[in-house]
Amino acid sequence: MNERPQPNRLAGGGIIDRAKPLAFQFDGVPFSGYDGDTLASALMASGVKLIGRSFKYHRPRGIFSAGPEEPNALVELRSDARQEPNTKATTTELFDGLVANSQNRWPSLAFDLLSLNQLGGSLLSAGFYYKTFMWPASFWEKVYEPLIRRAAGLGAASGLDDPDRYEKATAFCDVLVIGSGPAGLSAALAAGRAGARVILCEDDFRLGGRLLAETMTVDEAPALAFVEKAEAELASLPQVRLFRRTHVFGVYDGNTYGALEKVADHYPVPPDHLPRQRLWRIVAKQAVNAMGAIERPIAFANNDRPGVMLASAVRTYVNRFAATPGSRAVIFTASDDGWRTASDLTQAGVTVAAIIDPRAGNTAPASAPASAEAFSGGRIIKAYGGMSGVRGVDVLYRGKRHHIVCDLVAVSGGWNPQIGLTTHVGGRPSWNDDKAAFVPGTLPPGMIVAGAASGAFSLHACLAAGAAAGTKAAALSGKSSAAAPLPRAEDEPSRAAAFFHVAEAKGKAFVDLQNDVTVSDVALAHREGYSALEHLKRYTTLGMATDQGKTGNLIGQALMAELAGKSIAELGTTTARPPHSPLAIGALAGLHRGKHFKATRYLAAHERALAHDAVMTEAGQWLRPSFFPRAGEADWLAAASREARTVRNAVGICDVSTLGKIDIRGPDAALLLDRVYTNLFSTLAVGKARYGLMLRDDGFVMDDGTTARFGEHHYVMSTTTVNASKVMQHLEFCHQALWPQLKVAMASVSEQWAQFAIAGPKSRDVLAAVLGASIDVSDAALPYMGVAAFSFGPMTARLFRLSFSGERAYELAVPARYGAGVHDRLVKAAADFGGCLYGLEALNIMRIEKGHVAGNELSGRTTAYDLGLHRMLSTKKDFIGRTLAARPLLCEPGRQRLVGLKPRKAQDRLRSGAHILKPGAPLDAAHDEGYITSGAFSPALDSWIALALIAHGPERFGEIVRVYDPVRDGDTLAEIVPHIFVDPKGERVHG
Amino acid sequence: MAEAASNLSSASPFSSLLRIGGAAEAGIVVAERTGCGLASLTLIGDDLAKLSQVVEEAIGLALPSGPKRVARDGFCLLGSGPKSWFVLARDRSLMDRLATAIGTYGALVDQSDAYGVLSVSGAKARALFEKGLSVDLHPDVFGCADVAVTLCAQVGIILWQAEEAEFRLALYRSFAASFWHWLQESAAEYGLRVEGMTGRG
Repeated sequence: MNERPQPNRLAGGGIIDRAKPLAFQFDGVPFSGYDGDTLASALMASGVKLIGRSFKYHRPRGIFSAGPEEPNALVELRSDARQEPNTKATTTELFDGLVANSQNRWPSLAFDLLSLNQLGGSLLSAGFYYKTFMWPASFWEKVYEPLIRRAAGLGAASGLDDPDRYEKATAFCDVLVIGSGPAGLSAALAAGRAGARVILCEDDFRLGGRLLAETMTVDEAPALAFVEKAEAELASLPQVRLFRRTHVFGVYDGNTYGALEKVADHYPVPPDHLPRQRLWRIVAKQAVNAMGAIERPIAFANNDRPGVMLASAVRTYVNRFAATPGSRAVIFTASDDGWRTASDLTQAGVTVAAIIDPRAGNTAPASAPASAEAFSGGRIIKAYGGMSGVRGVDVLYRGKRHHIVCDLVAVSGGWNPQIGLTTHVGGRPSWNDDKAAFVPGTLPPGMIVAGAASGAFSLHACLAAGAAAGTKAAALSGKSSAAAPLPRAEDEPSRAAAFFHVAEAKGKAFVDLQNDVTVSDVALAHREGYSALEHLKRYTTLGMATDQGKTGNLIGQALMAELAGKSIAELGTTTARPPHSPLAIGALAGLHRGKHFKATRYLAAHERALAHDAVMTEAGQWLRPSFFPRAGEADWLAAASREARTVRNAVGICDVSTLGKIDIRGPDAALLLDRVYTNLFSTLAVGKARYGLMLRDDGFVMDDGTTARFGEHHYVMSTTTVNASKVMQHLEFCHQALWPQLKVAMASVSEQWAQFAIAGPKSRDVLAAVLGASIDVSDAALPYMGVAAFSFGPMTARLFRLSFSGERAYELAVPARYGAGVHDRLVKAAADFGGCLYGLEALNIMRIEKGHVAGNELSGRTTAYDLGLHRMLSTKKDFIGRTLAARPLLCEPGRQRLVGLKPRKAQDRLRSGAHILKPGAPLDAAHDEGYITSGAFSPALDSWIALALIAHGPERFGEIVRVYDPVRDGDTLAEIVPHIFVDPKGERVHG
Repeated sequence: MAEAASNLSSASPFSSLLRIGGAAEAGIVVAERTGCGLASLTLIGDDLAKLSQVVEEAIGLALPSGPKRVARDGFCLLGSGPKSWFVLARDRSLMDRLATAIGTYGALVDQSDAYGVLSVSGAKARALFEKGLSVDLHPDVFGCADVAVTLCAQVGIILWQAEEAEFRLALYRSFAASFWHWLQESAAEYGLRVEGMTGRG
């Protein structure tokens, strides 16, 4: 491989492997980096300063931070379907073959036409959209919004299906440790040594946090040695799990945490056996929040120029990645911490030209290098430079301006503890004047905050707090231990002043870099009355970008507090909600997408039906044969019509296994059925079945089906496919809550039995051929509505003489393991008698011809009276729904009631959903008289027919109505007829 | 003329899905368990002590209370809900003996065909279940005396361990293919070996 030059890479040091060079591309240009780099550190080492253009003004932007708080260095990672916009270069682990592109620029990063927005900058101030794109309203969707989106879009999605796999998983532990900096590592060690089940989550691909980025020592050795020792010890503890590349993004009720593990983001393409990302639900008895703190910047003019960076990030690049962000630096720090940047830079050979500390009279916490001029009580008012980076700064010191030439400005305005997670279940942070930061207030149950995340910033303090928190968390989860001696570390000075912006700055001073919110935007919001924080946020979009204002929010809040004459504590803060950092939707879906969105249920004879060319359709979660097309048939209608004719003329076989089946046993089984059905079942003879109707409490129809009696105390109920579990729940509710004293037990046996309908005049012949001498199927032995259990070879089978088609028909139930075998035998026997398989379409045609109600009619809005089933409401007993079904309005003749419809022209299609009106009536809702519930082409009548619910329906037989279906351009006339079209006297079931 | 019913083919829920084979060092080992009896048992009335007594007299196992498992001599009882259990029997005739003993104290309903039963073992079995279950399977928490009636990848399952780290699960047969899809995808990173069918228990 041809290594590319890395001009800003130090010859030694850093936690990178110079023996493993990696090739990558940025904006089509080849570059090199090393194993251990991030995309940002590799670009920096390669001397790339300009990474992207800003959101609104298209200003040139570089690398600002070294972590997930990055507002500037956002790139489009990968290409084609794997293209991922707004990816932070600072957290993107470098891999060989990485391809990234800058975003928000056109036509190129260096020459961006839209950067002209900068010139019209005053037009684009806060509230610009609200004020400018108001009129005319119709312009918004078609003109303004697309225009704004093109100009302001931050990256682009590929628009293609995500080709990768995602997983979801759940883990349990005693102690969850969030973050592996000094506090997190010592918490995990303490809890792990106590024997607790520990999960340690670290965003980065390496454990260590700030320990990787600072030149401090632990136990007189470099901090990295401590990290490696701790890592080895944790790995040796069997109850400790280390989750690297895992971001804890949310806290939820029940001590549950959400975390995203980037399993394979560091490969160009995930290996086949790995998901790209895995979403974890972690249930932790206790959690130690050691997420650390984020350094905040200071707002001055042009503080967004490439080369203006957080001081801590400068140290990270120099110390961890051996990459120098510049050659001549100015440090602007309001914190003790920022001073340490000077010695680290000097050691790396970078000249430190000046250290500016706005704290007047501050005694320097560290000595400044000889080259550096120290401006105690000074401030930077403006940076100079452009695309190629910062070129110098103006310092205001004792009333005079000093210009200092530099190509790097390291800024430290102090540290903000990462309070986000502590507020996810309703906690509020509190302002701490001493630390000049918000610190965690009320905490989620079971959470301890340790180290910098709680405002304890020194290394010694972090190690001590972590150990104490780990020990305490383990003890609270039942694992106690003696405290181990603490490693020795510096208690370095870590004071910071509440210094957020330079008042004397003129020009654009940025508060929120990602959303281009400036100091003057905040002032404008205040002038226009949007001084409440939630208003400020929405008016200026402060903190609303993908970085959620991790670096900028507090500055905006402090500015507003100043303007409003309040303290920061009085003004408060906005509410943080999960996720702490953005998540891919794919991770939230896991494996459950596309056809795996829900589990699919397959029939025992599914493969057999496919062998007969079944076209499957979804029925709830089930797949069922819809029809069985044959050569020469034009469409589904031709196939279904042929199947229905075959049933009426010969015989057909239909898989009805999906119907719900509930086994009901016990001395009070009959009593329970009498109470849940509207009609009597205690009077049903053993060996017989009866059609039953169930109402809800409110008197509307819930479900229907047949129930068979196999013994004095043994019934088997059938339900519709979709209501199988609902009816089971209903029965269990009735038993457990209403009548626990009833001696009865229910069991769902829907899956135990494969069940087939054998329907048609030749059905008995088919059964005789298949069942042979196993059972007598003569009418004398098995009359209409008779049932029997019988031995059939190795099994006990059940035979029901029921009919949904109106023809002589049976249902044969066999244990499911025999479903496929019995299916084949029935099909073969049926073929011998001129029969065929039939699917849901034919089944539906025949039930409409017979006027049987199904799902469309049992919609939850119909009563027994509406459906013409009111004679099934027994007057001899009480049953669920009886009282409320008798409400006058539910038995009112003007209700929409079930009738049949026949079009004037047989070929005019009647579709469900079409509206019924009087011919000539206005086409409006006020004149709507009802609608078609089910329509079908009837082969028996050679005409379209329909079931419909029509006002006063059964009183209007013979009347012509208009069938109006504007959605599908249907408009025809039809006659209201009785809802039973075929064999109204019901003679064919005996035929 | 009717074909002999004794020649009827039968198919277990996973028989068309599982293909025997896989690496010896696979982290997940799966086998379908077929051939024995599975039934649901529900108390009828309120005399739990009596039902437990007749069951114990018949098979030497008292009914467990809560989501617990007991096993002995070809029988295994799994607590599956309030006043309900699953009974696994090494063969059908054993189940008949139990049915006779229970009489009217409970409802013993044959579910042998309603469920598929898988054995899942191997070094990564617990890691696999993390991807579908919201149940803590740590050995300190979920032992051989424990049962979970829960969802795994949206599919209802009953889960127990026949011995330490040898998991068994039962699920409705219609869900077998969807469940198998989840299992294959989730086991991909550990390696998957499918072994031949074995008896239930």
